[in-house]
Amino acid sequence: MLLHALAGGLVYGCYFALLGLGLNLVFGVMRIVNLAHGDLIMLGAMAAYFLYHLAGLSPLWAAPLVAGGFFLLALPLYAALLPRLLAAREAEMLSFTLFFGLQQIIEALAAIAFGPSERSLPARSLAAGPIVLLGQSVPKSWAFSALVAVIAIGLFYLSLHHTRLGLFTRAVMASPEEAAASGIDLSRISAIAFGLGVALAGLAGVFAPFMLGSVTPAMGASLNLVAFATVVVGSLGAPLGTIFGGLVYGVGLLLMQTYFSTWADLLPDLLLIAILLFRPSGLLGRRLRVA
Amino acid sequence: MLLFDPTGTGAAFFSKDNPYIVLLADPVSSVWPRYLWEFVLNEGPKLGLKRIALLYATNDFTGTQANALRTALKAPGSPVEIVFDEGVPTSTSNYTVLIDNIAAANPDLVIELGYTGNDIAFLRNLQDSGQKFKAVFALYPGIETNVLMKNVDKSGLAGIFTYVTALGLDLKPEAGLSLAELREAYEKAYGNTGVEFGWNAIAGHVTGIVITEALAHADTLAQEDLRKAVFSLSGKLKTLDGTFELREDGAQIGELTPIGQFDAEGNLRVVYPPELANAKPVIGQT
Repeated sequence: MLLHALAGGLVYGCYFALLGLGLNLVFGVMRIVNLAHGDLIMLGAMAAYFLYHLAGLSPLWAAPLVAGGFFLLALPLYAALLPRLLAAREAEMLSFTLFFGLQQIIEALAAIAFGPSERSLPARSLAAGPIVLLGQSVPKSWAFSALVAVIAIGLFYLSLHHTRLGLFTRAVMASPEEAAASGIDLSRISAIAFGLGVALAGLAGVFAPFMLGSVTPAMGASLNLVAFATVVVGSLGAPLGTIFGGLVYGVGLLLMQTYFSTWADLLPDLLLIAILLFRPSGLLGRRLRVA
Repeated sequence: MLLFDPTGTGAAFFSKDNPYIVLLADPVSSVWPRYLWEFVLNEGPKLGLKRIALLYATNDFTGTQANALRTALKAPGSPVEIVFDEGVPTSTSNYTVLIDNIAAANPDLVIELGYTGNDIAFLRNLQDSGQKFKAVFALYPGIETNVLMKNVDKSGLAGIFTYVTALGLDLKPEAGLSLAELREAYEKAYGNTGVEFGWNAIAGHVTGIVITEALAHADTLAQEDLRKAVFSLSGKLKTLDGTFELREDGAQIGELTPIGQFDAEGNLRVVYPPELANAKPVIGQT
């Protein structure tokens, strides 16, 4: 049971890393908290659902389409909302209010448009049946979702550390003032980071029906809590720390389900409280921030 | 003031000193699983179902059902043994590790009690896990059959035991619409809203019927008169859900749901109690 929880947790955790990555990127670059992140994941799931049922598109094909589409849609959203927010004196605090409102609007409109019933994609649309990983049997759909998450995180890492745009992004994350003084266009970097954050949320949403059983318009708030926990555990503001946060959350959840199943729901709260009490910068905070 | 409770079945809602609530459209959770425990105790040993795993979501609805089942199955002289007994948060959306842990206890029958989202996740994870059990009972396939069929597919429901509600019984009501009439009216009114026609839609209709009948029998709208009027229907009113019957504390004890099993084509057949059964239970690898 322990080995199964550990193996399953690692696979599950890769997905949770993807779940929190976009949230952390947006915070890292702009120091704002996108409380609508969970609802964007839900919209990604709905997009995948309709692409499959109306156009017969496999989730693997839907993934780049949804991510690309969400990136493009995020740019006008950024232009409409973010510049004024970022110009405010208390942008970080005001972002809670702004994105909480956006989250409520998205949830209400989704409930009206799609109805409250659960929706999912058949496992065969990705991969049905079990697969043996690390000596343990896990659903193939988990393995595929985790693989996509690892690829997305890998591409994100490469772009952040081996491209000019990534260099600028890291400069803004380290010090927006110094980055601006060096001639970096803060607004452009912020817009792209916001777009990427939304795209990563959409991508995570495509695989949500496989990892979370089913999706409903009301799922956004609980996903926010999980995403926030993975971000804080890793290191708030350091996107790559989210990978570690996701793995800790995934393994922790399955261990809780194995040994304290009734209390498994408490895990995100327990992780948040423990991190805030004992290591507020996150488990990888110092090293990543120095780097 | 009197609270007309459509489907809130938690046992804690009802007590003898609380005359302010009446449950209208489904049985209180402590008696709801009566046919289930009778099936397990009476038919289980004959079918080779002696080792029982109980997995439930920890809310009033399913938690109370789990408590009632546990009490019945652990009664002195019980021919069955509970080998796994765990509650999970209602928000649980991943059952893979739990299924693996259940398999480690080697049960013959797995009883999973959850809300719609729980049951979808459980049955999908069961399909993908590769684990097989002799028999599996899940709560919601018989309650919101359309939703479960869309999310789990008939291949995932084949062989699953569940409650058979008014959706699968087509009872003849003495008041209100028939099942076919209600389904037609529902689809006409709500067909495009994304809310599937299921047992909860029937419960809403039955609630309206009981309130209508109660108002017709009430002398005044005062709490005591309304309660007296509702109680005057107890044991007499035949609804789409079955016979409406109240216990002294306002809990509904009629409208019980038989036990059924899905066949490979997605049809739900009643297997218990014998007087209502139209099929024999099939025990195999679910």
